[in-house]
Amino acid sequence: MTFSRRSLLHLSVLSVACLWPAAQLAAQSMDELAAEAANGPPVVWYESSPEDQADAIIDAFNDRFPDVEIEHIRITGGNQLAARAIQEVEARGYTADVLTGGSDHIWSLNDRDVLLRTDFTEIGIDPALFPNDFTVATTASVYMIVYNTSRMSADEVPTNWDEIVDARWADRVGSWVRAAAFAQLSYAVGEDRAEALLQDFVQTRPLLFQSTFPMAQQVAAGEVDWAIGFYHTSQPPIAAGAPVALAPLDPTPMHTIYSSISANAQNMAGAKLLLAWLASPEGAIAYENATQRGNPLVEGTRTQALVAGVETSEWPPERISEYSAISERFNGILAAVGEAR
Amino acid sequence: MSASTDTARTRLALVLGRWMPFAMLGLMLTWLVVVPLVILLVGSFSVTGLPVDFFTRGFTLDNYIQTYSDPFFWRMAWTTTVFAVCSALGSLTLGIILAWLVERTDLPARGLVRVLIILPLATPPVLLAIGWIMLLSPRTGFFNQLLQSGLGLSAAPFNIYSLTGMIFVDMLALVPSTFLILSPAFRNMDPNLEEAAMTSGARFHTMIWRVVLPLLLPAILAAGGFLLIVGFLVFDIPGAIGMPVGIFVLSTRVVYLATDAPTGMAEYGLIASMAIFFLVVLLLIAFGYQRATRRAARFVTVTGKGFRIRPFALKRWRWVAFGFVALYFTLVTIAPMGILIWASLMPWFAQPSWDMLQHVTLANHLDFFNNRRAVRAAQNSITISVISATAVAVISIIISWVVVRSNAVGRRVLDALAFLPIAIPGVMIGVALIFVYLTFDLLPIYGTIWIIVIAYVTNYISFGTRASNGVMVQLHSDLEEAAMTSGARWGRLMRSIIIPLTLPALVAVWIWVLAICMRELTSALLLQGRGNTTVPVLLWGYWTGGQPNRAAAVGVWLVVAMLFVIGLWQFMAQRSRLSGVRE
Repeated sequence: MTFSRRSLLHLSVLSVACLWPAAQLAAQSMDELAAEAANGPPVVWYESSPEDQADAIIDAFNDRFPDVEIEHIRITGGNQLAARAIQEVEARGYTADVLTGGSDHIWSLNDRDVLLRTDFTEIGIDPALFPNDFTVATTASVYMIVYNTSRMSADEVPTNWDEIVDARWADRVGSWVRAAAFAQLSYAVGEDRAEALLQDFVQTRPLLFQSTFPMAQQVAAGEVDWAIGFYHTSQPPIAAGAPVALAPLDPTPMHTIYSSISANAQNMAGAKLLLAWLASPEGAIAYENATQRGNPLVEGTRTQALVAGVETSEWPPERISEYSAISERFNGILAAVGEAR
Repeated sequence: MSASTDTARTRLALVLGRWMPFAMLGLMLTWLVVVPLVILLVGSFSVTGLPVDFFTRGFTLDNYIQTYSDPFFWRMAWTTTVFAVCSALGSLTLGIILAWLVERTDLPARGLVRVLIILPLATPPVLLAIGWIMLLSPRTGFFNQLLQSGLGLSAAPFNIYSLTGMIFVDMLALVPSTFLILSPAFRNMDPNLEEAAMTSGARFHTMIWRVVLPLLLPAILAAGGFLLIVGFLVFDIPGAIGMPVGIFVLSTRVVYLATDAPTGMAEYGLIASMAIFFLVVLLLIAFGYQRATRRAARFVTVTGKGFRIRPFALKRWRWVAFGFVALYFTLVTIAPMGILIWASLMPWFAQPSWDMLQHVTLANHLDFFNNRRAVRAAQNSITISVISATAVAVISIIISWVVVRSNAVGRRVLDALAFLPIAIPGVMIGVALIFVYLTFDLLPIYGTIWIIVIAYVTNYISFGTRASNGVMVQLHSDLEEAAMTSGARWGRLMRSIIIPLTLPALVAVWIWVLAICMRELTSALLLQGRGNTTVPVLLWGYWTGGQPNRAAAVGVWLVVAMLFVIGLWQFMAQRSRLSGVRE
């Protein structure tokens, strides 16, 4: 007997929905929202996942709520998400119904009064998921070491940050062109220590990549032995059978990704429904199965298991301006990799 | 009374004749070019770079101060200048040689060679760059490994991750565009001039240097100016080859500011202030071009006298020249296309090897045809590209006629307006169009394919007018005067004289715009709505979603589609005797 990826996805979603005791309570209000949302226009959702992955999420959503139409529009680069949403609101009065992005993007939108402020408990969302009244944590990008198993054994993989920046890795490592891992790390180890680590890392002359997805593929091709990447962006080559494996970082930097409802959502009930569903175990697992990017705050996700017992490092969203300043400075330091050559 | 009325009417007709072209074309170019340009300027003085914030949050000079006081900016500007100038010179040299060989000599299989030279136009530059990384990476590059194992070398002989590597790949990527600008000009050149030089005892190189090149100066300068500014703006190749080793150019900075700046907002203000630098460079180029070609009569080669092109006999150099073309084609098409096809047959990114042959799969190609999003994207891309290419070709030929052939008022302004859009980064055109079509709800095209068509027409009108200006300069006014004397009106003149004589250039513009639209990403990505996804956006989705092998499969089919279009063009051109050397 064989199962397709989609049937496995549906099975896992169904089992979680049955097992989670609080789901019943949320389901009640979600069903009411679904009835109301079915009469409205499609729920427009700005998010960054590739279309195929978004299709899988929407399929899972529609299995539960077949009468509510979701229109996913992929906006790569959260900065453009914020700029586009602001332009749309200023010009025509509304933007997408649901917006998903990093804390810096969501806070930019909130500063411009684009987002709805509401009590998320009213739509059944676990209070642990929302830091305030305008956004809900729906997923996270977790940094890991991505390495080529043909180039190095698991024993050789660096296990702490001092080993990561060791000179022996010169010309063998890769990095995202943004120094965001070191910027997030600075919350746990302090800015000076993170900067010193980054300066040493630059001396290893890492190859810099525009995105961590192609970087993971270049690890698979052997262009670099290992790289500091994300768990979810490393999954495509691993799933394809490439000689790629992952190792944890200690501490583990991460970025929480938030979703919000726009203040002038054209289908408000639909927007609330989608957000409530994404924040529920059912939606979180469907999202994680489709994108490999899960919510560490939701029971039953692989990402929660991934970071269990690990010290994570992330600037709190309310201190986003401090993170931004460090990140900008660290990006400049990493950009000096050309001089290190 | 009647005579004075007639005189007044004639005067009115003359005045209208002089002002109407400027008024009509000026209005269109104002909408297409001036509006985005004004929004760019407004954005550069706005706190966030969003035009709307200029009106609500006020004026600032911070963007300019921050951009131009940063030493990093000037270092990048220098690197960009070296990169752009060297790429432009390299592709211009190659383009001139190839255009001359194909259009003016008895090179074997010229029709096929023409197709093969243009073919790489459809390859998205990012895939071309990745192909070359797979070939010439010092660590895993296929050619490097072959040479190292074959010659027993201790180190890789080539390193693609360098400024030289960037220039090399960009130069190869730009040759098809150069060829398309130059080949109509070569084709229209009267062979009697070359023959007169040779008969007068001039040596071959003297004839090329003193006769051919000076006559082609407008087209060469047009191509050079175009290539130079493209070199300043191109991102894909520096992003894939230079960025990994810390070689940054201005376009990588633009992309960083648009997508990666840690402020949570695309830094459109800084981008707009940087775009002003591009505009200044472009205006300098345009000024140089106008000065060099101000005496248009010097470049006339198509007169009322008919001529038959007699191909220059290469004699014993014929097969040497063919070998050169074959080498070029191997470098530009076979090698990167081969690696692209290999990547499209792999389940993950892997170098060619015997071991990997067991993993060969057609899954990536089958997915392209079975995926409903891919089918929709292909339909959108074809529609957008055909409409944009046709619009650019038609508008370009009209603008060029007014600018070069007429005595209409303000024709130099029209020419400048038509050239300016090339200096506006695609991301800023996208921002401007979003603002225009959201704010002024005249046309409900936001989120549709039509907003992308407008972006493309705006973007590529500069290329179209450069190519058609170069050819229009070559036409002698005798031809129009003879037609007018015979009582032909403007429409008939265009239909019977101008369009047939400029048709090769028009078709070249059409093909170029079509190919570039088929692969354009920046504007399409920014203007993406519910139902206007294009193939490059799909390809980008695969690429950034960790599926480079599916992206490679899409790239392969883009090239196949282009091969079909160019093949069809050649077939039709052969039938209508418009193509190639008219024996």
